[in-house]
Amino acid sequence: MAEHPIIAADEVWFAYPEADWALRDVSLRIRAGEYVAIIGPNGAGKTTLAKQFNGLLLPTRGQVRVLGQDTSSLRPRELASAVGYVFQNPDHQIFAATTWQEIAFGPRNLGLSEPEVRARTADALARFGLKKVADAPPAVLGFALRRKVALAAVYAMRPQALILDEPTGGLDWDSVSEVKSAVAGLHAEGHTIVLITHDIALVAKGPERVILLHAGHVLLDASPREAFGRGERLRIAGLVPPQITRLAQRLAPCGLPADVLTVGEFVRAYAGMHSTHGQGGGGVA
Amino acid sequence: MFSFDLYVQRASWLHRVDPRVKLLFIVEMTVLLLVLPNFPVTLGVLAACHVLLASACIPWTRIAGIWRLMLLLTLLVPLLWLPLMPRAEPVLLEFWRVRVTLPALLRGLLMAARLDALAFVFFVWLLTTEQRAIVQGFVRLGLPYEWGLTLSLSLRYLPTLHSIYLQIVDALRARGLDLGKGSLFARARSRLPILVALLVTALRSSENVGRALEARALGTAGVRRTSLHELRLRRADLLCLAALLLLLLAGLTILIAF
Ligand SMILES: Nc1ncnc2c1ncn2[C@@H]1O[C@H](COP(=O)(O)OP(=O)(O)OP(=O)(O)O)[C@@H](O)[C@H]1O
Ligand SMILES: [Mg+2]
Repeated sequence: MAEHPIIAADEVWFAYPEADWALRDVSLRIRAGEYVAIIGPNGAGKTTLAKQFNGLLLPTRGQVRVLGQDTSSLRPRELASAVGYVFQNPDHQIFAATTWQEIAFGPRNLGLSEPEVRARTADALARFGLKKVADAPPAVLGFALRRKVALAAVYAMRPQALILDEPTGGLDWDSVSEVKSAVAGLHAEGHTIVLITHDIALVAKGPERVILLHAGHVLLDASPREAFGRGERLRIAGLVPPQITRLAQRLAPCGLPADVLTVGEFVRAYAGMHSTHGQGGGGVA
Repeated sequence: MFSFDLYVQRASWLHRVDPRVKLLFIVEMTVLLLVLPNFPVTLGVLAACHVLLASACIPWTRIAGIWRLMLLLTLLVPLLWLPLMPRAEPVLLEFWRVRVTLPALLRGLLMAARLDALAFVFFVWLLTTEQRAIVQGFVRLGLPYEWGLTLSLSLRYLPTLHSIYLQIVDALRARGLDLGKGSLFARARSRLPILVALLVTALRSSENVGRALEARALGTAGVRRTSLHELRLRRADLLCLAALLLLLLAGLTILIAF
């Protein structure tokens, strides 16, 4: 058999105590090196699903395996080195007196040697642009910096897979781009990335695969290009494709491809269309 | 979700009774239980509480829940009293150096019953009175409005804090924090990060709540507050008040006569 997928969920059902099903029959595999986006409206079950992936929640029915091992047989601590989870709200994990200590907390828990802890902490600080605030108390930093501290703290544990729960929520444009490029960098280095978001524009660039969750169901599991072509599925979950995709879809009768994902693609397609029309002597009216 | 509010919403007469009258009920019952430590009064109060709860349509499962809560205390207290009156008569049991006497047994049972009765008096109040009404009652009895508001805000934020606590535990466990290992000291120490994160979050949100209240002009000088729900003693409240006073008189008479 080939290598185990990093995360494998089989017919997972989950309900919180005294509540209705939050996950209904979810089956999926996430392979090493994949960049997956999980999207869906508020309350769809995205966070609940992500917590199954690192054993913080165990399925009510069904099974989740991480690197081939059932999560119910592993402790979160053992899982923490395989699957890192950055929480939706950074304040829920920030406690240390300095940013440095905050980031070193995870590697220390893994039982690494002191030089290794130092090396990883320094690397994480540099990677997320936090060197300047290494000695500052993280709790009083601005929101964007606290977000980055939370990311760096999990990154320093070097998990094979990183789950990022809404890493761009509440950030301005510049900070969103920084987080996006940091995540792209991690993926390029071979990390498996699971990005949870309801910002559909974030999905267009980066992720190779989109999992659409609605009321605990997987409605769609496809490439972004394919997913955005299925507007009717997205609409069930109250989502619409990115504006640029919708513009291209509207202009499809004029000869534009309907599966455009980014402004860059649109411009190239439009320019191509123009030049062919130009040669034919006509133009777009 | 886990709730710290014991209130059971029903449309009973007891729910409608003015919170101030209910406060008087608590004070009076507590005093009776303290100054008349005998079985008739204690069991009477206990029975009255059950009648009140039943007439307020509180489900029996909730009442059974209170008993389950009190069970350990109800069993432990008489047990602790057993060896405490060794010189009394008659002796029920004697072994090693312990002498269990009938008065000790009775005293232990009485103590347990008094604790149960006291607890039920408070539960009658908490199960049938909305937190808002509890605070309003205090305010009308002279508690400064800001204190009352602080009290109700704290009550309102308990469930929120609880869910934040659970989130923090998860977030730190995901970073490899191990809670259930080592000596008592080590385990307490491993919970320190949780406490700090909780405190930081709580302070941050309390600051925000404070600003939000100020933004809505709380504490403006020279303003007399009006309120949407005015507490007014109705006829039923006055009747309850009269009944409570009669009961107090009866109690005092017993105390003086015997
Ligand atoms: N601790 C809990 N106890 C009970 N129910 C919960 C709990 N956490 C979440 N739920 C419920 O489970 C469902 C899924 O919630 P979940 O947090 O996974 O959604 P989400 O997709 O992450 O939403 P959001 O975009 O708001 O973060 C919701 O109906 C929610 O109300
Ligand atoms: Mg969520």
